[in-house]
Amino acid sequence: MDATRVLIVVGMGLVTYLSRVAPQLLMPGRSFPAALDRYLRYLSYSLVVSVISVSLFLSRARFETEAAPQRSFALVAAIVVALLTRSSLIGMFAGTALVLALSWVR
Amino acid sequence: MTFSVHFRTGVKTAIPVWFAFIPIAFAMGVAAKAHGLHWGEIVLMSALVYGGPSQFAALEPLGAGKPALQILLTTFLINIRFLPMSATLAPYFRWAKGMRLFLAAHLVSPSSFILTHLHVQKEKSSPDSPVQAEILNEEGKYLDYYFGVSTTCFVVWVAGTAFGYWAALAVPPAFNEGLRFVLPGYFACIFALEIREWFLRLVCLISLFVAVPTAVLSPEWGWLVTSLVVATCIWGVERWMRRAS
Repeated sequence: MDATRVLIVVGMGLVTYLSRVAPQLLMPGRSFPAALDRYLRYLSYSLVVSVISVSLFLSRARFETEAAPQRSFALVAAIVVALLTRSSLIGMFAGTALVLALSWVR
Repeated sequence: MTFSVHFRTGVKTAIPVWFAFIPIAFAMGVAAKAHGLHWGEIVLMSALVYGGPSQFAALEPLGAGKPALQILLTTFLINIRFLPMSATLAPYFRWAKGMRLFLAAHLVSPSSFILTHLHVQKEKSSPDSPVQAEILNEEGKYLDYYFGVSTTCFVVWVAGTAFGYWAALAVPPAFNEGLRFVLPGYFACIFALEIREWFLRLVCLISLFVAVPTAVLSPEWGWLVTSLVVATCIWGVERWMRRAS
C-alpha cells in the first residue's frame, strides 16, 4: 500500500466522520433547515455527476476524443435500459456490455 | 452473545438494502482495481468513509496522484449530506454513550437513516403505541434497531468492496474499458431512476455537460468549483421562484 494514499484515505474518513458526529455533539434534537438540506442535496448530486462525466471522458486532464462517442452512446443506452426496465443493475450491465463491444470493434 | 428483538428486527428490515449494496460495493472494488489502487486501500476506504458517492469521486484523483486537498474537500462536500441525517437521528441516539455513540455516528448512511426514521415514526403513530414518556423509558430500543440495520449494511459494504476488487483481478486486460464504465454507468442509472425533482434534474444535466470543459481548463479545481457554482445557482433560482409564487 502507498503510504501517501493511506494517509489521504484516513483524512477522508476523518472529514466524513466530522459531518456524521457533529450533530450528535453540537445539536442533538434540533431540526435542520429544509432549505439548507436541499442545498446540500443539490451540491452532492452536482459533484457526483461531475465525477461521472470527468471519469468517463477525461484521462490525465485530456479529453479522450476516440473513446468519447462510444462511452456517450453506452451511457445513454444504459440510462434508457434502466428507465425501461426500472432496474439500475440491468441498465449498468447493458451499458458495460455495449461499451465493451464497441471498444472491441473499434 | 445475544441480540435484542429490536436488533434482530433491524437486521431483517435491512436485508433488501444488502441486496442493493452488494452490486454497488462490488462495482466499487472493480473500479478501484481499474484505477490502480491497492486492495487494502479500497477496503480501508470503505471501512473509514462508508459513503459510495464520495469513494467513487476519490478513485480517479487518488489513482492519478492528484493533490490531497482536492480529494479531502470533494469528500467533505459530498458527505456533508450526512449532517441533516445525523441531526435527525440524534434523538434516537440519546442512550448511546462513549464508544457506542461514536460507532452509531460512523454508521449513519442514507439507508440506515431512512429505515430507522420510518420505523420510529410508524411506531409512534401506531394506535397501540405507549405514551411518549413510556417510549422514552424503553431504553435503547430504537438504538438497537438502528444498530441492527446499520452494522449489517456496513459489513456487506466493506465485504462487497473486497470481493469486487478480488474478482477484478481475474479480469483480462481486454475488459478494462468495461471495468472503467461499471461504476459511473451504475451511478448514472441510479440517478436516472431516483431523481424526480425538476430542479435536481437540472443540476445533474448542467453538471454533466460543464464538468469536462472546466476540468480541461483547470484539471485540479475546475469541475469542483463548477459543481459548487451550478448547485448554488440552481438552489438560488429555486428559492427565488418559491418566494415569487
